[in-house]
Order: sequence, then structure tokens, then C-alpha cells
Amino acid sequence: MSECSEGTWRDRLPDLVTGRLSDSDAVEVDAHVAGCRSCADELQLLRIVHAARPQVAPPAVAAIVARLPKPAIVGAEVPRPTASPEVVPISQAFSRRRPGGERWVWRLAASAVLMVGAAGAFLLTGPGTDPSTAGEPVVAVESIAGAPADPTVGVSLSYGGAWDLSEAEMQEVLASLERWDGAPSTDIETTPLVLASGGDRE
Amino acid sequence: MPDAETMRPTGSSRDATEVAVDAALIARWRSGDEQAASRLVERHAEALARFVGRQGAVDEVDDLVQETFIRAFGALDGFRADSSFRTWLFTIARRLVIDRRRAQTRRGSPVDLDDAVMASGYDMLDELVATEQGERIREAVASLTRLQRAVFLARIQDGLSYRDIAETLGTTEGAARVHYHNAVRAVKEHMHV
Repeated sequence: MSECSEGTWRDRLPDLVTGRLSDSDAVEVDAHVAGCRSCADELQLLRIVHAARPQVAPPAVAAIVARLPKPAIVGAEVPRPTASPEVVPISQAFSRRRPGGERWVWRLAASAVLMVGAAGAFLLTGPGTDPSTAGEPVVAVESIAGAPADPTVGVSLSYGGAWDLSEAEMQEVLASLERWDGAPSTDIETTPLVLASGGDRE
Repeated sequence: MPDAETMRPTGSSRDATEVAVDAALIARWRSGDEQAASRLVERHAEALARFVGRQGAVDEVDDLVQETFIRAFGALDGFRADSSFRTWLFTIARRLVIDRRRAQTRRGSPVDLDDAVMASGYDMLDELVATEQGERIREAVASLTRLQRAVFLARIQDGLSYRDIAETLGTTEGAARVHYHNAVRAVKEHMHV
């Protein structure tokens, strides 16, 4: 049996069998089949196979629908999933864990540490010990800005007093301490404070 | 929002109408109309059950049909309207069948998926066996390769387009067309030997 030379007609035969053609298209294909022996034979074969579709028991629609999830209505507030862990940026993680109302405690503690360190340095070295550097207060805060990679580095202060800082410098130091707030809260109490000219002190 | 219940095919593509009706029902369901879910299930449950049965999961049809709908409705936000809802359901169902077969294999009860599909191919043609012609068609279909048979039956019995078949079976539209025509040729040759 030779096949129809026009493949597009053969491609449409299954659609005719399964009723997927529009009425006008079905008429068009029927007209072709009427004059094409090859397509007529193929159509007969396809109809036999189509008619042999397995019979299935009608599914229990109500039972299926009863188990379906409820629609999340468009525009309604969608509740946050509770099963999966909430993902928040690391920068927000600690502030979410500690309510903002407690932040002033850390600011106060950081300021106290700064003041105590500065006073200690002042007492140990005293002003004018080194004439070459007298009157040139230096506060090294390079290891304050981020969480210290080496915990023994801690906060390094050279001599000089915090009261020698200008308002802008003090704001910078406080801002650095604020960024340091990302360190685990327990580290605040145990981070050693290393004085440039003195021993370790907590 | 279009009225899904009153839509009728007016153009050249009945498929487009079916897709539009499904899209309208999905939109209604999303806006809180739970009756739309019933309509969607009614429209596709039987075809889905037939498809699942032909995948070789004859004893699990009800369970798999239900699981397929649950997964589909749970993930409707991810449904792309560029494929038909029925095709999407078939794709989910096929993956579920494969997952269950793999799980059964891991539990020590190996199931050859190819054999299962072939067996279902026999089953679906049982009604033809009573006649000599039916027996020969049954043999012809059983002699096809697994993919040829899947494409051939999806096209003739489920009425899927080549595009839908490609999406459901994880192949290309061109490959689906080739498999279909090779299958038809093989069945014809078998019938005229």
C-alpha cells in the first residue's frame, strides 16, 4: 500500500479520529480521505485502535476534589510557610534575633569599653612620655571594623584618649562598633582587649 | 474573565478552545471558586486514569490520579499556560509512575518499566482480541518499540498533539512525529504480511 504523498493530511488523521478538529477542518480532511485510498485505509486502522481505548472506571471526582489544596486567593495575604526555614540575609539575621530595643545596651557597653581602654592607656603611658608623639592621639580601630579574624587581635588602642577624638572621628568609631554588632553576642564578653602598652585585660 | 462553561469552539483549533477553557477555570479557582476545581477534575480525570493505566500502573490508577491532581493544584502557580493543562497532568503522572517504580525497585521488588508498559499495551487492546483483525493489531502494537508504542497510543487514544507528546514523554516534537509515522508504518506492514 503506497502512502499519501502529502504528509500534512496523514498528520491530521489522528486529530480527525479523536475529534480534535474543528468542524470546517474535519470536512476538509474528510474530503481528502474520500479521494485518497491510502489515507482511507490508514483512517480505518486508526479508528480501530482508537475504539480499543481501555475502559476505566469513572474517577471519584468528589473524593479527589476534597483532598485538593485550597486556592491561595489572588490579592489575599499569603501566610508564610512554617515548614521550611526562613531565609534572611545574614546582615539582618542578628538584628532579627535581637530586638532593636536591646541595641542601646550594646552601644553603652561598647562606649564603656572604649572609655576604659583609653583611660587605661592614658594611665599606663601618660601624656608626654614620648615627646615625638605627644599630642598626636592615635586610635587604631582597624580591627574593630569587622569581626576580628584573629580573636587575639581584639581591639588595639594606642595611647591617647577618646576625648581627644573629634565628633566625626567619634561617630566613625561608634559606627565601626555598630557594624561589629554582627559578631556573635557571646564574643563580646570574651573578646580580649589588648592594650598596646599593657597586659591583657578583659 | 471568560465564562468557561459557555465557551464553544469557533475557530480552526479545538485545542485552543480547550486550553482557553482550562485557563479560565484555573483563573476562577485561583480567585477562590472551588467549583472550578471540580470542573477541571471532571474534564481530565478519565483521560488521566487511562493514561496512568497504560503506563503499567493498573493497580494504582485511583491513587495516582488523585496524587497527580493534588500535586498539580499545589503547584498551579508554576503552571505555564504555553502547554495544556492535560499535558501538564500527564507529565506529572508519568513522573509519579516512574518514581514509584524506582521506589519499588529499591525495596527489592524490581519492576521492568518497559515490560509494564508493554503489558498495558496488551491490556488496552484486549477487546480486539476477539477478532482476527484485532489480534493482528494487538500483535503489531506489541511489536513496536517502547517509545513508538507510547507515542502511537498517545496520539491515537489520548489525542495528544506532537508537541504535547514531546512534553509528556520528554522528547522533541520532531522525534515524536518520526516515532508516530514509524509506528503507523510498522503496524500497517504487520497487518499486510
